[in-house]
Amino acid sequence: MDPTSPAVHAGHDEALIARLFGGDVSEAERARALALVSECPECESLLADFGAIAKATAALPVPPRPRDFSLTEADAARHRGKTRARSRVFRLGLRRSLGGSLAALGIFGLILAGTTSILGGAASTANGPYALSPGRLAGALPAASVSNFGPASAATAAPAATFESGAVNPNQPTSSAVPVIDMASAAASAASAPEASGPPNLAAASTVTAQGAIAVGSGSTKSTEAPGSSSSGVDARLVWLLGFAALFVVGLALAILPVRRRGRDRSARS
Amino acid sequence: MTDAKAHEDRHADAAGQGIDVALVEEALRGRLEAFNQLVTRHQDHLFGLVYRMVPDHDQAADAVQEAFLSAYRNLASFRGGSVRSWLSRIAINAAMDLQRTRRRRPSQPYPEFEDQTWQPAAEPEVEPESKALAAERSRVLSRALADLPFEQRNCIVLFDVEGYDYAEIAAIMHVEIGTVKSRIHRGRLALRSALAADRELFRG
Repeated sequence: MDPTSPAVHAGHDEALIARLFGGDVSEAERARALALVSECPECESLLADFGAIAKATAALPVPPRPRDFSLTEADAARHRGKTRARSRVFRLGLRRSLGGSLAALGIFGLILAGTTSILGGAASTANGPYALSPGRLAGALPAASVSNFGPASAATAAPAATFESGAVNPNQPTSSAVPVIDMASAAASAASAPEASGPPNLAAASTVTAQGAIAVGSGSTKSTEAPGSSSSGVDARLVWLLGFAALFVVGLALAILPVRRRGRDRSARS
Repeated sequence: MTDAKAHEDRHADAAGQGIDVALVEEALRGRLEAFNQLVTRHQDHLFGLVYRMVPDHDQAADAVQEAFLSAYRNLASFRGGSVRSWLSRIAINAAMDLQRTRRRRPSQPYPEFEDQTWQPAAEPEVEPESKALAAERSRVLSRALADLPFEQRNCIVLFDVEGYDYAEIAAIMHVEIGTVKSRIHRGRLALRSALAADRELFRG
């Protein structure tokens, strides 16, 4: 085929010629591009056009500027003032928005902590009798049985909650259902072991094996929480409440104080 | 002869830079006249630069005015070197801000290209045919440039007209150097395609 025909040029890399014109080629690419330019008239024309267009672009006439751009005294004064005012406004705005954010965070935390306190009883109940944590069972179960709880606790952050949801919806085809069954069967095997001391939660676990997950959800009612743990939970909540309240007050003060100060400034000026 | 001319140009550039820096120092002391002398020295160049990037007379003027105001506000941030380059960068940023605003709120296409009145006055000895040819070449090239995506147009203007290298353009536009190269090469190919019908205007 004739190397000078347009059909052959269609297969040539025009971007390579553009890069050659822009001096953006390696040695090998340069040799390849120069070969194209010397062999293909279309490539040669392309390179010439790039040159002509670049030259014409640089020589493109520009219309005369429509006005003089010199600054007047008023412009200068306005922009000097604007710079100062902008930094003052920025400081004020930053302080206000920071204060507002802190106050919002504080009130949100207060609501959250308050809600948790109100619902705390239910939550602790859920964590109480049905909690089959590995730590709690560790004393009662043989080492081999306890190791079965590893995946269960790793699979969900709150094994007791998973347990409950599994109990409410037995058909739930989620992966969390598997550890629930593991836990139940492990607990059951532990309960049937002769050295098991049989605390109430293990009794509940044995009920799981016999009656299924639903029985566990509604079965055992005895609380196994240690007496001290409940009071330490209240202390923590109190600390959180106080912390959020302090955050709210500080944020409110930050947001409001600048306004008052500005008001004072204005009244001082008047 | 050429060497002597180049030497003179370099000398003039150095002297010009010295004057610019002295004017900046005066302006920093609060003398507005000194700043306005800087404006007088550079306004034609900046308007030409911005006009190529934003091919609309009024918008280019607004961008240049904004650039000078911004330069005045930020005089203290001048860290030496070429005042012309510093002002050019401010003007380029002002032009790019304008282009971004236009992209967010597209209005009319650039209206200038049918207007022939701003063609520079030709020398008396230039033949009318050459003058008409040059005017037509400018018109079609301006339109083809305006039709390019503004990122490609900016890169081509900064490379071909202002003489910045790839790295400088990348720094000005806050993009990778590869992006600049790609924009320039693609822009050239697009320009050539757009001007394919008028290729004869650019030859000879």
